[in-house]
Amino acid sequence: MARSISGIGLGLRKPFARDLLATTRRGPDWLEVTPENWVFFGGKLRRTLDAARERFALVPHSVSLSIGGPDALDDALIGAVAKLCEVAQAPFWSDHLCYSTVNGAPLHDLLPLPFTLEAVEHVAARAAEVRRRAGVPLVLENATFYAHMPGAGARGDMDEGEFLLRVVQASECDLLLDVNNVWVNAQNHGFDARAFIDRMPLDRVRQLHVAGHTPKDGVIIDTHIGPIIDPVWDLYRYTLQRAGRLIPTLVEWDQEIPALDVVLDEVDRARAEAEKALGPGADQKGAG
Amino acid sequence: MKLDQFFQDIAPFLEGKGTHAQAKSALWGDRAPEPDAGRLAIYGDFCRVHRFEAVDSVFAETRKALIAARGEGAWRSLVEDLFVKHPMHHVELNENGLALPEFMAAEQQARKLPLHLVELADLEAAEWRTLIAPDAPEDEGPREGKLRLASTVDVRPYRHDLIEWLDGPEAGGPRPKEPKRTLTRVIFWRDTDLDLRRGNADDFELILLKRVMDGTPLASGLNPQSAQAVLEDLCEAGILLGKP
Repeated sequence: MARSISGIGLGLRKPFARDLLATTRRGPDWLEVTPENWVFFGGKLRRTLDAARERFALVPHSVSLSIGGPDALDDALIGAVAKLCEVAQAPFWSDHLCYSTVNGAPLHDLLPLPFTLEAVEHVAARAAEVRRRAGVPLVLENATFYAHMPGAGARGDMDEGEFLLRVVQASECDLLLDVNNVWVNAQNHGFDARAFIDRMPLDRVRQLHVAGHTPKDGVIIDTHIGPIIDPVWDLYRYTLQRAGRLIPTLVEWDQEIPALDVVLDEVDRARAEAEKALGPGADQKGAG
Repeated sequence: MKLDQFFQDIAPFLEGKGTHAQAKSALWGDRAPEPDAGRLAIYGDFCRVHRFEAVDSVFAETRKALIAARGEGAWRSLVEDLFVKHPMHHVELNENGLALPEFMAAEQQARKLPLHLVELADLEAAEWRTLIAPDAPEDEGPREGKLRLASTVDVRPYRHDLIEWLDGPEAGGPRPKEPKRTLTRVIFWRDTDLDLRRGNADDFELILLKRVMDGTPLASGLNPQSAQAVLEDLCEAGILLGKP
């Protein structure tokens, strides 16, 4: 029986993990874990993950699946995530709609696929294979991209929104909609973020992400450095209002990580923004 | 452009084996669209940063000492060449850099690397492996059962006293330029609080550890009181588990 997630979650990060398990302050309602950073270790890291799993509902969110990549799927990763899903009773696991290997070697980055029909079909086939091997639903996240990659045209064959819609349709994967990524991509590529949200199948969205970002040399980089700015919170409220429910929402803070209290302030802010969007008791209006 | 061709064209750039200009040309020919073609450089930078992240954390002391001895450029070329010879292979980032000691040993003469830096890299890799080693069932009940080595124990020989060099300087005091040249055996283990520990092991301790491992009489030919005292110390430290 899977432990469903609801309300506001937080990405478990090593710098504050032990403080989070010890705090008496109201924390997140659930946790997201990057399995690559935890499951291959014994010792204290293993104990910390076990303690987190006992205390919180938990969802794995991997970064290395390379669902659109050219290389064979990584059985060790899929096996490790499937095992984590099993012991944590996770309702699903998620990764990114991107590729992250070439020539059989991980690059440890989330790299943009060409927005082409061939890539849609490639992702769909691999997603089906991942689901078969893992035995757990796979959810895909919209990634940031700084450059369009070539297809038949120099900038691919469709826009990002259409690419996402086609992947969701062809792969039978639900969506993890990263609101910050939508905002960052909209700024970097000059489209309307709200119009993009309007096109998304919000009934297929299992989870949202909100995060900070960093402008650099004329481009906004998805650094996950907080705090989250007001325009992203505006888009978050808009997304919830369009969905009509509190889609389980995760706060990400991955670099320049401050003291736990500062991170938990962002979790509290997410709760407040959800309530602003949906009214009192917003956290009772949705589960993933 | 077909997907296979796309990956073939972009791979050398992402792996650090090709330039941005080459990638632009391969992907778009002479009609590269802007700002996309210019921004492609971001991904080359990201992938390069990740190669350095794969070694910077585990090999922090090696990095610091090599840069002090040979300059930033020597470290940069060492890391880039490491990943040409030993491409990334694991989804856990740090795992990818663990070939650094082997690579430094192979390159020592060509790059005129001081031996103590090669040994320092080996020591830091051993620290990391000890810290993250899988949990072993035989480590449960550390004060119970027959006398045994903790599963994480590793002993590695060096021709320098790296421990004294790393830990020896008084707080805030300068570290000598190089460690003392002398044969040492460093023992690594995870204590019962799961913290990483390491230190120089003496002959007496090593004899006792070998006897525990082999199951041979512990105090044979040794002063029994001294052997008992050392065994108790080794148990207290968490190197030995069980009843001394």
